[in-house]
Amino acid sequence: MYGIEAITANNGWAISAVGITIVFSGLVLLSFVIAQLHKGLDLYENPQKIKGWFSLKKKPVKESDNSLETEGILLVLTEEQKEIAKQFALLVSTLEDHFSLPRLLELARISGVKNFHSNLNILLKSDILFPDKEGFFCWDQDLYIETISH
Amino acid sequence: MLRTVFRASGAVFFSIDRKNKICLNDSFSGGAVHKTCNEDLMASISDVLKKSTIFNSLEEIDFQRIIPLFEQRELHTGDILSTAGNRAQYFFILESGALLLAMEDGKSVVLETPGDFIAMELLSDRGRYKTTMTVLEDGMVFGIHRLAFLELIQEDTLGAAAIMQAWQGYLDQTAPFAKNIADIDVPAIF
Repeated sequence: MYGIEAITANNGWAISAVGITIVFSGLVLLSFVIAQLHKGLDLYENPQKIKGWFSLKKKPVKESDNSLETEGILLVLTEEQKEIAKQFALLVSTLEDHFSLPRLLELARISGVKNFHSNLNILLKSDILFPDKEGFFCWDQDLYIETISH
Repeated sequence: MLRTVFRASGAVFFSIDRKNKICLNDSFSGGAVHKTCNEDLMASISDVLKKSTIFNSLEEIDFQRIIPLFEQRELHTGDILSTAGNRAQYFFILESGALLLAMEDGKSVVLETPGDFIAMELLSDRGRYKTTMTVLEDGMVFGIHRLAFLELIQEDTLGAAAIMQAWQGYLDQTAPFAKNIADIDVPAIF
């Protein structure tokens, strides 16, 4: 027997299907792991987040079409806004604890942050950026983590 | 800035600065259009002044006196409303939006409450802007000519005294680091 007949007689099709399934399953699993790697690294850097999973949520989270709610509740940011908030977090990490807000705005402009005026305003409204009453501003890392993880 | 002047049927005369401000300059014999637009503007200014901690204690007669001094200006995100070093022409009162006031030594303050007044120590020093104002959120301000305002507060009236007293309290709350020392002749140095 040769060719297709030989394959059929020796369960070749079943073996091929199993092989293809194993390979593609492996690829899907690998792509999922790579996609979620950033969350794992974030958890490694901020282990206190694990505590947050088990603690009661005190602040209600409200979503809206605008994704920007105030009145003392946690702001819900869009994915794009979260990415931009991360860019601001990186810039803030290069500054002092009490930093100049115009300096941060200038750094955001130089770095090519998208819509840096509006996004800076969002961070101010969310209280992630807050004044120290001496003319400088500070970054609330805990609130930032809480905001971007929702 | 694009300025367009219309004269229609020998009756209406008004100018529109498309980028920054809308104002009405003259009278219209017919009365209807001008009166409605002017009344709305006056009402808006009056609302903002009453919300402002600087002006809300004024008597009605003082309100009627200062309202016509204000002009409306639109704010667009990213606009620079004043640049440090330039000649100071206006003081501003915020109707809506958010402004970043960048001062000396990297210090700054963000104003976003309707009625916030941006003037004197916050904005100018001896006829020059000392603050660069950047718009963070679209909105509206009303501008009052700097000299007109300084003239107003240097009068020996209850209204002027009320404004200056309220200003000191406002500055204590908003930007205490920008406050001048008490024994300087405060109005003259702006």
